[in-house]
Amino acid sequence: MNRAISSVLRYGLAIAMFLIGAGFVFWILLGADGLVLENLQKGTASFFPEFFAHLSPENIIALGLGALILLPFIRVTLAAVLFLIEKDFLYFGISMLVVAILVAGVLIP
Amino acid sequence: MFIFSIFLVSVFGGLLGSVLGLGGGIIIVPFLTLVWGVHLKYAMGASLIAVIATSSGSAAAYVKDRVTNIRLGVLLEVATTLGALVGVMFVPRLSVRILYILFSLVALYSAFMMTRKRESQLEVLRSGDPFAQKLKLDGSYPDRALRKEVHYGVTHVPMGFLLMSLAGLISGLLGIGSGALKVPAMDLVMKLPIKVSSATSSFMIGVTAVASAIVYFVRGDMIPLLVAPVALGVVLGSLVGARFMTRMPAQAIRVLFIILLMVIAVQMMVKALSNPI
Repeated sequence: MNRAISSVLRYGLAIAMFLIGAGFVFWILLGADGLVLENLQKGTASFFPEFFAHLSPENIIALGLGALILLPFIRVTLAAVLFLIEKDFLYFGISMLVVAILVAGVLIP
Repeated sequence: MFIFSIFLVSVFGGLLGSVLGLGGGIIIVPFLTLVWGVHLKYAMGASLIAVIATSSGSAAAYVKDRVTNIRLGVLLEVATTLGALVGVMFVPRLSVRILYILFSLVALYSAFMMTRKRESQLEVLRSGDPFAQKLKLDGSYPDRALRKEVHYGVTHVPMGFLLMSLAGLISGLLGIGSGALKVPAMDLVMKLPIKVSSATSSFMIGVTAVASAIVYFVRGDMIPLLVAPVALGVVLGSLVGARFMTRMPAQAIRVLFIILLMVIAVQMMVKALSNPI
């Protein structure tokens, strides 16, 4: 169990950071504009990813952020599966409860 | 200039975080809000991403070395994620002033906790705690310094669970990992060896932060161009920190961090009490 979970975290982090880094470098190469400090101060900025609409630096970064957010999620699900294989039903249930709480976070707002 | 300074401070935050076993959130949020006047919600979103990135990295290493108590971590994640969800739901309903005051108090408490000397415990006998036995929480880990397998018991499980809900709540409200609250809850209350507390805390922090981060992402408050330099900086800082950890003056860094936390606490309080906010 330890090795599997450790690998997921390590490789997942590498992929996510690569996407975020690539998007950021892409943005700088394109002239680094589009980030208005004033909007960030007033609280009027917002961003909703359009992953497949067009390949903008922001969407590439958002893809990396999505991967990063997904990582602990995958880690808990993997733990649940491994507990199930070990026939530890109590901890399978507890892990699935954590997954359910995380899913609730997507649905509530 | 704005982006570059964020990147540099994030490197610094990641470096301190990895040496002291805390995430960089408690530095990044004040820097973005106090220095650049960035709205608290964007600062929190960026900080949560930093917390997930650093904790995934350190958790991977600890889990591989079998220091993390995975059962305990998964169990307490129920408390931290529930707390975080409740916290993040309350953020839009609370005034920014109250959040600043709370942040100030948490920074002060973290500074106080950092002044405590943490001693690594020797062998701990089985706890005999009925919850710990029923939930199979007692465990062991290979201690490299002692060169043996250390067995330990877990006590006060319900109290630990309650404190973790509180840590999760704070995490959701303030957009930080609140490792400074999790470690003492396990170390002092549940009587875990300090290494297991730190490792299990960093294992849980990622999942706790994700519970809130998802909400920011869905609400559109996660600004990629603001988050990217923070995430990249923090990961770079923590990689450098991990590599040079043994050569760093840990005591000096600790003192520096305590002073920094106290400055942050005062500044956040001044900001909270100033008019207009």
